[in-house]
Amino acid sequence: MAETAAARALRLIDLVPYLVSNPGVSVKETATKFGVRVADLLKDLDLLFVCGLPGYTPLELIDLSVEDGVISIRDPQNLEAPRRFSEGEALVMRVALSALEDLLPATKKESVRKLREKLSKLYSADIPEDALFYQGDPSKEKMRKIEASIKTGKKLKITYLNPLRGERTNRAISVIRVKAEPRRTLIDAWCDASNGVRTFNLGQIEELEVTKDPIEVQENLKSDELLVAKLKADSNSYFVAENQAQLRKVSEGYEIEIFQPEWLVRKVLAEGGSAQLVEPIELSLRVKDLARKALALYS
Amino acid sequence: MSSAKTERLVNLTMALLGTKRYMAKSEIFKRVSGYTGTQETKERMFERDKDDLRNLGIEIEVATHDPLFEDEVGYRIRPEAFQIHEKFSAEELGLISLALQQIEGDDFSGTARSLALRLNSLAVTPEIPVEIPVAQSAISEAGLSEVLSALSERATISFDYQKASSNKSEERKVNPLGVSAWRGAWYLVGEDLERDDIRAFKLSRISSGISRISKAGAYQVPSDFNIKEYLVMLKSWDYVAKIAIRKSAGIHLRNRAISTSEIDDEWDEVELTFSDEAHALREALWLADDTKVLSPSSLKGLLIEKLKRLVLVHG
Repeated sequence: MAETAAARALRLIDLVPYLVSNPGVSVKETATKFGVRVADLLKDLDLLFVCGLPGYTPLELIDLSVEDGVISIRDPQNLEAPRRFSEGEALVMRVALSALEDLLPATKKESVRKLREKLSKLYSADIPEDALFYQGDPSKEKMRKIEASIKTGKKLKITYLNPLRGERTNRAISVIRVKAEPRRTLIDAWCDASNGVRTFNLGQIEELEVTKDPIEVQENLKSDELLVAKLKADSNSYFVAENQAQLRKVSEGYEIEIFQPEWLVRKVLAEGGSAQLVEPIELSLRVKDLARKALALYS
Repeated sequence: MSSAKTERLVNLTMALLGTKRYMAKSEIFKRVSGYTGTQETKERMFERDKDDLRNLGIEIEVATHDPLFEDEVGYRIRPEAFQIHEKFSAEELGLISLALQQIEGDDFSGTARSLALRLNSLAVTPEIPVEIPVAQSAISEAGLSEVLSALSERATISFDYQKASSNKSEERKVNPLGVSAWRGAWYLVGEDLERDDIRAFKLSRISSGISRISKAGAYQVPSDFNIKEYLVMLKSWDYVAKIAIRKSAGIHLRNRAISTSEIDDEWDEVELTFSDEAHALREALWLADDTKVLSPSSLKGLLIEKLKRLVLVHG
């Protein structure tokens, strides 16, 4: 589609302040920035050269020149400042800023929030702040860092929350593999602190950062041992719905592979009786024991 | 493509921008370069030019009752309405540039490019704080730019929407009130005109194009509108419970406690909100003998009942 005269006029108007703020910029760079061919940009500049204010004597015309592929503007007349943002553009900026705010670490959020407020006072003020909300996919951000760590071969420093042990720990880990399951993502990694291979649930990694230290993995070491558990559950069990992908249907219930026995014990407790942990028997007994102890608190 | 028209549009913009008082049409024809031909030709030219500039988002002010012109209409472009006169610091501009990188590509590439160029045309050079590590990510989704543009102008839109429960699409007429992203998907919240209610729409379920069916300014967004109130997943949890938690336990709940106070050497009293009773119950059951429900008593009763069932089932 041929460019309209109006669209071209707008580019001409935008060119002037750009040239003012970027003295000595080359024709080539300017053409790239504006998304036009060099030949077209030169035509634009020729045209700008004859535009100006009423009177149209040399004193009132836009004064610019091109020499050795470099553009200089001597008199922009009254087009020195760039065009104001439109309401629509301002709204796009506000949305982009709220996305940026979401991505930045907590310490950096404040300046973005302030800027967002400043913009919404100046532009698109009819759309309240609370009409826009951005919350990204936290696991996606984390995965990006894990990928970076694998690509660059650097260790990750993580803050890991373990509600089973009731602890939050900082660890340096070297990622071995990532196992993506429909409802959770597991990371197998060499953990310096435990001097062994451990499995981490991505959802419980609160913070992570790629370090400068090269990864170290001691091979042929056992990872957390997998255990097969058997359970029976109602059709309305929350656990069954939540862990559909990991469960294997067997004759009288389900089987599941687990690497943290205590995780399953707690999950079955949370079911409040709509699921029964059948095997291993010691885990089943632990469920009963914990439930008894909890009951004792109310007697 | 006619260079003459482009040249005339630039000259008209500069003239209207440069005048302190309103310029009458006759004055424009006399003084602004490019208006030639019969009176009628000039009039037609000017009307079209004016529309073109307005379509580009350039505000042309019109004064009809200026005593100076008697019955003639006057025009001008106010510099404050046309150019950026607000001050932005180098860091602020850097943050905007960084934010714009997030929406490059897709439907926003034109907007992002134009904005980036203009940011780089200000007297202050944008400075991206180097220590900010942001991976470039495309945050956009099909339909978002149309929705935002309708929202910014308060224009009613219509589209076909596929309900979650069926695979049939229905036409909806909506006044957009806000947008939100949640876990990588975009949602529009707006007034559904036929259902006379505020509804949430997932953009990925819009199965048609989005068309505008009203002029700009068809409605208003209430100044106290908060999108989170209309999105189930963003609604704040309002089921309040008080539980005692052993000092060694419950780190994942303590994180988000409303208040925590010490009971004795062994226990803390923690006040928490949950999405509903079932949620509170699951959390309390998970903690087993590391927690004791204090209130509400209905939750306590339910918990005791469930614990008894657990013992029974695992008997």
